[in-house]
Amino acid sequence: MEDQKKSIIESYRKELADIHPSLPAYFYANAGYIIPWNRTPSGEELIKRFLLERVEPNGEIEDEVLDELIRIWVSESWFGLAVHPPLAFMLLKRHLKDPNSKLSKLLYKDGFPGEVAEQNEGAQSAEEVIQNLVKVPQEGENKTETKTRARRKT
Amino acid sequence: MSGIAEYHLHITSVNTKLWGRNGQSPHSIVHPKHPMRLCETIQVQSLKEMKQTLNAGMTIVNTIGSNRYFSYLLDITREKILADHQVYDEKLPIFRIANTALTTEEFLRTENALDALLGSLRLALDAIEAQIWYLIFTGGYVFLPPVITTGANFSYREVFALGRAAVHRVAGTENVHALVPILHYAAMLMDNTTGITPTQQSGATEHHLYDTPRVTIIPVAHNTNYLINNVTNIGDIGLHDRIPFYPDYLPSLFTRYVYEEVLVERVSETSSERNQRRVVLGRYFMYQMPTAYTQGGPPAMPVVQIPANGAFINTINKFSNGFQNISAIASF
Repeated sequence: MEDQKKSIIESYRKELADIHPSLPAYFYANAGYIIPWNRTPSGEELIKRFLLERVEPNGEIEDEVLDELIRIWVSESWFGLAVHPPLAFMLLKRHLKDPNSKLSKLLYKDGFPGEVAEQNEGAQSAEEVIQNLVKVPQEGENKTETKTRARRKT
Repeated sequence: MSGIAEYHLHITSVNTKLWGRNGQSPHSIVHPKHPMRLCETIQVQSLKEMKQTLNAGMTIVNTIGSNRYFSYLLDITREKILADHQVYDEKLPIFRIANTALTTEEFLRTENALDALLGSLRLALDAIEAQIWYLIFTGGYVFLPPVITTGANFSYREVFALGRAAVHRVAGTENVHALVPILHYAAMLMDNTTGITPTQQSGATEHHLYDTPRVTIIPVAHNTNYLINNVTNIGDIGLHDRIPFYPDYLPSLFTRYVYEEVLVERVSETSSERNQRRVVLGRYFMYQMPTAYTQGGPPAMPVVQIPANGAFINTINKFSNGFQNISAIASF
């Protein structure tokens, strides 16, 4: 089980690093639960009580980035849903998709890379996250949409 | 004698008895005791009528041992006890879910056809919303006690015991409910640990059922592709690691605002598809949550989540086709 927990946390590390290489350092996780490091005394206690482990123990932490991540987790966690790793990753992608978001500005200090915008073209908004969570694809949906669009052009 | 086809009844309408609103349909796959069906639901005419509340909570009172409240009680000290009270100014979301179906104009002209179609779409939305409730009940606004849930002997009986005891730390009720994802529910059935109500126990023969802590099991409806289909390994359980326990009165403290939007639109005017219509049912919903406590930060409801993957793995290891069959149950 311990091995399983480690491999799950390793999968979170990879997923976070794909979103941005510096992100794994800021997070603590156990299997199925992820939060940014809360450096208050109560936060440390929380980490012990939840049996959380740092996702990237050797990573560097910048105070401003950590503050912004905590702000996001406090103010945009959708009733606390962001502790679920798949939803947390979508939330981070949503912020990094927007070049004007504070998180983008902090993580992309040398400018928002064009290729990142391109890569994140498929990233989802908060609403889309929930939408995707629940979407039941309908047969023939795409076909119909294409035809409708084509007709509008004419 | 002519064929039976000549005696066809003239069909004039579509049966709507099956369909209801907000999970109340007799056909709904949302369990009757799911909090979504027990909470106060308010249907609103516009999103503006949805009322947000601040989520707040305070630390759980420590009643164990000789605590400082007793010192004050016995006049040993005049110091009043400082409670940690947190208010979360979260941008509370209005969730949205929707699904759609293609149909024909001819069908929609049939009496009750649109109602029946919407009822069918509504069933799917109910199942999906029920799933979101589960995610909230295992999210950040609940308790996650630091229990050790690994080990070769960890079982669902321990999950029930820990969950029930933890709920009783903060809630005074005999009745504890648990939202159980279908994978765990299937494993519990295989492990024979779900016979936990007196009625079920009376019909049980295996003695260990009597030892199982009494918890009302509420299987969580989920038949959505995203969450559950194609379960091929334990990692695919994904969002369903935990089983949340809560007092039976908790759902009645929720307020659920619901706004539904129906759209019927023509999707094509080509000669072959002139009669096609798209029916969209959208649901916007928001909750007022009964947060009362705080666990070192976020406000929390009296909900305790117990990780149950250890019990799941131990159970399926007992059976030759354990995971394969549970996966089949969860994936069809």
